[in-house]
Parts: sequence; C-alpha cells; structure tokens
Amino acid sequence: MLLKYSKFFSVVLTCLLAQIFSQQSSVVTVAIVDFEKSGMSELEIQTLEQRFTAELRNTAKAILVDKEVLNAQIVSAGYEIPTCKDVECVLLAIGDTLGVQYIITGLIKKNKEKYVLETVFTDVTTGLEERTIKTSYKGPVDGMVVELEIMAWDIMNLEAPELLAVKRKGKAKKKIRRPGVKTSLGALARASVLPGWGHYYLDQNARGLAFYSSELVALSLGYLAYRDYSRAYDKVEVYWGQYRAETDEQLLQYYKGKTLTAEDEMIQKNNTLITMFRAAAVIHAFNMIDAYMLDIVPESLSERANIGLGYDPIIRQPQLRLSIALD
Amino acid sequence: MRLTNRIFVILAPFLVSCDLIDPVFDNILDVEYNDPPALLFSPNNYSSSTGKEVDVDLYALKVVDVAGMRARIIYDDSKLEVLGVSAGEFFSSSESPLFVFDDDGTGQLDIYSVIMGTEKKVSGSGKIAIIKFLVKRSGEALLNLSDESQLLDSNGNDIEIKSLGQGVIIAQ
Repeated sequence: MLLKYSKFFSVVLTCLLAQIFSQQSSVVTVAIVDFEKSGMSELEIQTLEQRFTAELRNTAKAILVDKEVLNAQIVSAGYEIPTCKDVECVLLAIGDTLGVQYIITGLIKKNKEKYVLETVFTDVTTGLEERTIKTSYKGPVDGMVVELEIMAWDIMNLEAPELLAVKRKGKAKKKIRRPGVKTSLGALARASVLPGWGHYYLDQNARGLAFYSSELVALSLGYLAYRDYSRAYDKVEVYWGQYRAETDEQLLQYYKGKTLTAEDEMIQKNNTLITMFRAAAVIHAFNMIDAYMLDIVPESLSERANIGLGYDPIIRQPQLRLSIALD
Repeated sequence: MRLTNRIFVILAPFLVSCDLIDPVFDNILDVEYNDPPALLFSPNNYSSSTGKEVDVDLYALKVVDVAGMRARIIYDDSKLEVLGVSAGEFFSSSESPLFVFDDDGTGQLDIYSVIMGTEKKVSGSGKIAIIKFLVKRSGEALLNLSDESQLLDSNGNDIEIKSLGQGVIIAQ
C-alpha cells in the first residue's frame, strides 16, 4: 500500500517537474485577442491579424489558443466580442479558465499613408503588461504588413529574421516598453529622485532604508546647522551695527565682543552645514551607484509558480494546473 | 554645454555654502582702531544734500589729565559754512566749561575749551563739541583736524596727540 502511494507521488512529482521544465523552455501558451481598429475595414483587420498570427507561429515560441475557444469563453462570461478587446475586459472574461499564460491585445490605426501598430503582451496570472510595442509607420501598405510581422517577433522578445528585415519599406519608428521588467536604469532613475527608492524597486528594502535614513539624518543635521547659522548671522548683523553706531567706549567694546562671538558661531555653523550637505551628496551619489550596480535577482521558481484548479473547455474536463510566469 | 551643465548639477551639492559677514571693526572711537590720545570726528562719514544742515561731533579719545584744548578744523568753505558750534559734555563738571570758537570764514575753525570747577582736569573719552555745518554745494567736503590742535594739562603743558581724525560730508 505504502509502495503504491510512493509510486503515485513520484509520478505526480515527475509530471510537475516535467511541466516546470517545459514551462522554462520559453514556449508559452498565448491567446491573441481581436485587434482594435481605426480607419480600416473589418476584412482588412482580419487579414492583418491572420498575418500576425501566422508570423507568431513561425517564432516557434508560442502555442496559440484557438480563437473560437477564446471568443466562446468571452461570450460565456457575459461579454460581447466587439466590445471586449482591451486587457482588463479579456482578463476578467477568461480568468485562468483556459490555461493560457499570456494574451496579446492590439490596435491598428490608419490615417492615409500613416499607420500605428500597437501590441501588448500581458501575463494572465499577474495581469501585468510584460511588453508593449508601438510602431509608427509611414509608407506603402505592404511595408506595414512587414512591420506587423516583425512585431510578432518583437512581442515574443526575439530578433526578426533577416528575410523580414530586408523587406522593410517606408519609415518606421518603434518603441518597446517593458513595464514589468526591472532594470538597472530604472533603479538608477528612482535612486536619483529619492535615496533608497532604487533599492526598494529592486526589493532591497533594508539597504534602501539605510540610504534613505542616512541621507535624511545628514540633511536634517544640515538644516539644523543652517538654522543656527542663520541666527548667528542675524546676531552678527545686529551687534556689528550696534558697535558701529556706539559712541560709548565701554558699550562699544561690549558689542565688539558680542560681534566676534556671533561671528565665530556663524563660521562654525556654516562649516557644519557644508559638511552635512556634502555628506548627504556623497550618500546620494553612492546610493545611485549602488542601485545601478545591484544585481537584479529574478524571482525564485516557487514565487512565480501558481498552482490552481481550472476547466479546460477543449477536453471539457477540470484540470490541476501549474503555471509559472516567465520573464 | 550640456556636459558643463551636468557637471555643475553633480557638483552643486558640494559647493553649498552660505554668505558670511566679515565685520570690520572700524568705529573711530575704538581704541584698537585708533592710536590714542586722539582728537577725531565720530562718525567720520556723513551724507547730506545741498541746503541741508549737518551736525558733526568732535571727540577726544583716551586722553589723560587734560585741562584745556584747542581744535583747529580745516574745511572746504566753498561747500560748507559753519552755522554754529556748541559744547559737548566732556569738559563739563560742577561748572560749565569755558567754550569759545572762531570761524575766520575762509575754511578754518578754531574751538577752544577749558575745564572749570574744582576738578581742573579730565581723563577718558567723550564729546568735546558739536559743529553745525550748512551744505552749500554738492560733492565731497573734507574736514581735517590740523596738527596745530592742542591738548593742555593743568599746568599749560602740551599733551601729545597721537591721532588726528579726518571726516567727510558727502552732499548729493
């Protein structure tokens, strides 16, 4: 009996590990949502979608979910296909029922010879946009189709084949955003704005807090020194004025002494505030360098894995599903 | 240019500093600024305008056992006119001092003062006289205490004067 159970668990474990490694092999399940359109006919948009889908298959990195299954799920969730094309709506409609890891939403705009192509690659599990690619194109329509096909490679984070690149026409301007991907430059930008923010962004909270608090302390001490300096400065002005106006010899010496004491204090506090602001600047610079140099540690497999129950509409059976977000 | 701006922004926190006052102790009555005993004007700088009156104070600084004095003041009579001279409190005692002045109208003013009463002599610093000038023309009018000025002790002997002051009235 015990042997039977141990065999069963070893089979399950093998399956799970196989799934983990297959997931790690960077082939992902993707659903392409109908593209939104502007200035184009339904037939044109369908044709372009087909070209995009075909090129996505050529990447050999995506297992595409049947469009009819996707649409059926959207309808069964109570949404209408023509109005449910944005990420939020599609995610609400499909949830994790289809076992799909990513969805691709898109938009094609046409204005005379100008086209705007935009695709968004969204993680179904986290709901976060992994990549957004926007291409502004001006030129003949066949050149726009080439740009769309190249976009299929870009959205899978792959280099487009040379064969496609040589077919390019017109002028194209491409922007790629990876909002979900943490970068050293992102950390640097944040660290330059606020000490510790870059570290916090890279999940180094303790270090971030250390930088933040040390700079705060330096700046606070600098401010206190400035306040004292300001008071001493005012005193110098007052006593010196009294000294210059005084005609009584004893009072004159008294104000002179007061002026000299206040002047010493003013110089000392000015030196302190210079030291403190320089210290704050050094801490800030070091914080920026440190945030930039930090290794970006990917999330562990256990953090990225998501195990749950789902319903497969193709085989019409419930299934135990393990999904891992691949960045 | 952009590189210069960037370098400046980076270095800016290191250049933070505040203004500092560097007080100059130049009060004419400060014994550390002058060499006493002295006769001088305090303040030694006046601002006025044409047609206005200016009161100039004449001081004795750190004098010892002085019974009388003569102060000869040379002034620019093309710009200034003496309207009057009054005694200061330095030679005052139980009795009012003997106090006379003589303006020759050509830019030379003599002031004489002698202490009266039982003390017969005075030491220290104080105001000897207040001279009222009328500003006739704009410009800088110098007031100089001549080296013919004298301090005398109770026996009529000269007391050495180490510093003689200079003043200026700047008229707009």
